[in-house]
Amino acid sequence: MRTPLIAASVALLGVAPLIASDSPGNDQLLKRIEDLEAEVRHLRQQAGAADATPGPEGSKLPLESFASSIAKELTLGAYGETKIRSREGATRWDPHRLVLLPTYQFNDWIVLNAEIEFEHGGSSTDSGSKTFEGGNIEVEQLYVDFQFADWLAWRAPGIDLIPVGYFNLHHEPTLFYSTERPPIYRELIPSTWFEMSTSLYGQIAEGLRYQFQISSGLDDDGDNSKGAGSRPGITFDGGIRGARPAVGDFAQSNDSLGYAVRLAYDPPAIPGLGASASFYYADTTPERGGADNPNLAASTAHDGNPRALGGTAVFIYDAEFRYRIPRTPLELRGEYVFVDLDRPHNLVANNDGDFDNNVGSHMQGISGEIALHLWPDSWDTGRGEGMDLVPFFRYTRLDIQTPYAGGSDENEFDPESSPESPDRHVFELGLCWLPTPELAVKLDWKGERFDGGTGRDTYQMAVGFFF
Amino acid sequence: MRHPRIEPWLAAGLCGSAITVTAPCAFAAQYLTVEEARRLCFPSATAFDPRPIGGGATRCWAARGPAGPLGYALFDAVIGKHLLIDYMLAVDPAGKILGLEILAYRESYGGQIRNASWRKQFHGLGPSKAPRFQRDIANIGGATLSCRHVTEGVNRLLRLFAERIAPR
Repeated sequence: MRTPLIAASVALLGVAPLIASDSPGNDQLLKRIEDLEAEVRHLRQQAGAADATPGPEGSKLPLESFASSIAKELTLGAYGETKIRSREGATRWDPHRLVLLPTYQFNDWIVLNAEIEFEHGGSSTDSGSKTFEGGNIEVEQLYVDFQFADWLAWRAPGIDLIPVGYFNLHHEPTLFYSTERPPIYRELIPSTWFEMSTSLYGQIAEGLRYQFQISSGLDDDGDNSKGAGSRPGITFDGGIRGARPAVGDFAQSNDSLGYAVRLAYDPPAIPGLGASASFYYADTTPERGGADNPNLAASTAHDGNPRALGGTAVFIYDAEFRYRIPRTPLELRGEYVFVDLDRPHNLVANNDGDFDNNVGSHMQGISGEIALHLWPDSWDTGRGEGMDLVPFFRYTRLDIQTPYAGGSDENEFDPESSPESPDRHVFELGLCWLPTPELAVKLDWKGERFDGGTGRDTYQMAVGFFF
Repeated sequence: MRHPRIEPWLAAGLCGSAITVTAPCAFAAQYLTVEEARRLCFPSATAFDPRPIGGGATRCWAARGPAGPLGYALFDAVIGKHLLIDYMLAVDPAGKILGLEILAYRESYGGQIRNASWRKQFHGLGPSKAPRFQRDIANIGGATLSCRHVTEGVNRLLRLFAERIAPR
């Protein structure tokens, strides 16, 4: 690549004086051309020799010129997914997300990572735009990592994923086989769950990694920020999904922090097996400033007066495993999550006069999945190389509500016995075709059977990519 | 009189900054030099002779011991998720894999590919049985792209070796 450029530059430099001079003779021109040809040959030989020369072998930076010239540049990855979903007689097309993943390596131990996400086609304030009104643009990750040693790295304060479960951290569409992320990752682990945070992480033994993170705490003030947004807090049918706080502009209304610890283990003796355990705690008590706080007034005004509520807290315990059994088509996954609501009688939902959104004392979910990798070895060649065909079945039980646990809405509503209960069994059956490991085409059925006796079936298709 | 409150955020930031300033700035990403990796691959070698192999930045050395040729050390780099992973593949004279060493890993996620148990899966594979990701080489959750790309890189080196180095 370099040689033609050098040759062209030399040629231009050499020819320019000729153009400017007064009509040189043919002999002069011929000699000059011969000189240039010799120069190009010389440069070409030099370039060839450089390609064949080993790097500085005793250096701490092997082949330094190669590594530094490429690795220090900004790189860009991406993932995304488009979907078609049909449910209860309606079919909808959705450019669900396009995520750009810039990374910049400052040096060998300091790295910047970011995720810029366009959801549902982006967003637009132009009434003439065809962009879906529910779209938005988010910065889902933005942090700098300082990697001191294998066992210790510091993720400086920035936007990062909360390390609870597996699929909140690794949610790219080629890493799971269903159109949607596993159901546990909605009400119970509100994926994509990202907050302002800072972490320490590392590997403390072969296969054993940890992450300890401090983040913005969950928020239960009936809104998600002081000045913007309208998330409902912890609710009857949304779990803790609506309690994620605002991310930016000093807008979090809860000064308390969230604390998460995750241990992940890939046993060296069992290739293909990975497991993790996570714990999360947050004091969800928001600022409750009285009548001058419009969010508080709105959320506690069922008796006409803002109510000063006591503290609440959320504990989350999660354990999961994934096992792709070597030399067999079989892959198994399982997960259990338990969300404990401490002092639920102080939650806004139990004191707002709205008897349809009362919350119990805990929530839980359990999930099991079996997948088969059926692409035969004999087809793993040519265009079929790296291809995979994966039928899968997943069962999930979501127990979002347990008996009502007090508050000023007491005795008006028992969420567990409501016909509107979100508690349900979820069955998912589908097929995922991966033409290459970076691309997934998915087709599946999702059947939800609610404890209240109702049901809902969704047929869906997705195309997802990650590179 | 109210005592000033230390904001947890500020405390965390200060702690992190203190670690940054005081921690020994060992390269977390750079684990082995080329020379160290070659010695690990061929401990009994008395000489490493460069061999032209082409393929851009790829390098190859023939390892010689007191009793004759031991094999070849091939150096290359692949992109993990975003950044380069430097690695060295050791093969015997026939091209069978003797070892895989990770010289440098720079990304925030996926460093588990350095674990010996994962690298050991490549041993014994080679010209007659190329390593295939998710079939012969198990994935590590959270390091999928690194696992896949290093496996692809090893396959590339095996092909280069077969075409340009292997005795015909």
